[in-house]
Amino acid sequence: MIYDCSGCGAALTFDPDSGKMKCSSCGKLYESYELEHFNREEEASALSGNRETGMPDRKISYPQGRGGSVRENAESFDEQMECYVYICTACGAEIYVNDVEVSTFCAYCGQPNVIFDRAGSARRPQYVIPFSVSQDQAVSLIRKRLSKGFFIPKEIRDFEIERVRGIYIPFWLYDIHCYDREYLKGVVGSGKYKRTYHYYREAEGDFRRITVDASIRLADESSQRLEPYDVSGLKEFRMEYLSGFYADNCDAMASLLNDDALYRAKRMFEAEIAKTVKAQDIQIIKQDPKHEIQKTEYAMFPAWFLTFRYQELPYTVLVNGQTGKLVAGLPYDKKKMHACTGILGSLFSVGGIAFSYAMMQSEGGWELVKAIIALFVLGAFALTIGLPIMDGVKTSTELTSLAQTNNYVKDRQGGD
Amino acid sequence: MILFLAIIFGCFIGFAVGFAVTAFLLSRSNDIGNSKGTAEDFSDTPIRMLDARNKISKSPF
Ligand SMILES: [Zn+2]
Ligand SMILES: [Zn+2]
Repeated sequence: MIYDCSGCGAALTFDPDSGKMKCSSCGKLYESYELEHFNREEEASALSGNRETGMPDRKISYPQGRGGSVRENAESFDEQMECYVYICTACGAEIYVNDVEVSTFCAYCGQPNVIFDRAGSARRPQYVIPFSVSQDQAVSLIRKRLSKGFFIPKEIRDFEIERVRGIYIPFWLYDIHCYDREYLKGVVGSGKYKRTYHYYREAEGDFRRITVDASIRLADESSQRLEPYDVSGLKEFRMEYLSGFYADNCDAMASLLNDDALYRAKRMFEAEIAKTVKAQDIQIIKQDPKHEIQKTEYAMFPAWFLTFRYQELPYTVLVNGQTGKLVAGLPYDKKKMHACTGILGSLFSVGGIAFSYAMMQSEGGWELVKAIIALFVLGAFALTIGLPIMDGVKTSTELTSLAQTNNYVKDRQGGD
Repeated sequence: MILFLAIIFGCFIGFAVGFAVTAFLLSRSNDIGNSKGTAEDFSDTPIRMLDARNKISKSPF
């Protein structure tokens, strides 16, 4: 389906700046109701064949990741993906879409095509959060943030865009009622005054619209980092919001993700209970959790995916299309990193030496041994703080350069 | 002897702390948006306490 401009006939796309439909050629803005009105008219005047019903012309099987270079993601290499062929409503060229894509662009003429309801079998979302961050805004948000990163290499700050795609990601929203009673233990005080106490907590609570990504092809870790989406911005789903963007339908049914949602609710609820216990190292000894899904809803949420290359490897930065939150783990400038460690290390060493010297100014061998052990523990403690932080950065960087995410974006045709 | 040990341990502690601070600065610079939705994002009142007992001696269930 294509929304046409009544003035010039060009395609209308959803415009994040105005929140309205906008003509890609003459710039005329359309209110939603106008559009509904004249689409109904158009339907009545009965266009030919596939445009009307959204039925594909034919169905073929294709190895996933067509047209790409070497597949980095070996796991899905053997998977055959159903492909559907549509005819572009503007130029008549063939548009290939996989079995979850519901909105795309013609690879030849760039015409946006919403092919949502093929044969009426596709599940229709109840809600959508429309894009409110435009492509230009997303790119400038990324440039601005990257220029502020002291350790980000210059080549990355001045990145050249390989690809930008605005994609609606399918999500299931879960309402979950939680109940749990827990027998816990925790540590209070330190040193000589350290004590372990036991606690009992019985509580209930409700989570509304916990988000679980309904797309198998996108890593859950990536989609969760786009959170939070502000659900007060949920709009009733309308296909016009998809025009000018890419969109996937869900390929993971809610029933398959129930456990993920319940697990998430359980963990969050446990954390809330732990917050009410005034102790350290809190552990649950025994519990009796009863969590219940009360409602599931289906929605599409917007995200920008921007890919650039650094030392041959693709990196994909994500931007929440509603709030503008950025998600990226980036490689660092090793020289700067070493210089910083060296300079700070030397500075702290001066203090460290003075401190160590003072610690060891004690009478008797035994006191000295104790001082040495204490100093060693102190140094090791500092290391145990630094190492996990470095690990976290590494994990984020791997996530940003994940082949799976790159393919998720790369496999979409047109739009350039 | 003590001065020698002080230099060894002082540098060990100094560089360990320097590394930790650098790692922290690095994560602020390069690890962007590393957070997920929390309980507060999905509920205004995630928890209503029904019973709470502190410093108890054995499991009530
Ligand atoms: Zn126009
Ligand atoms: Zn075309």
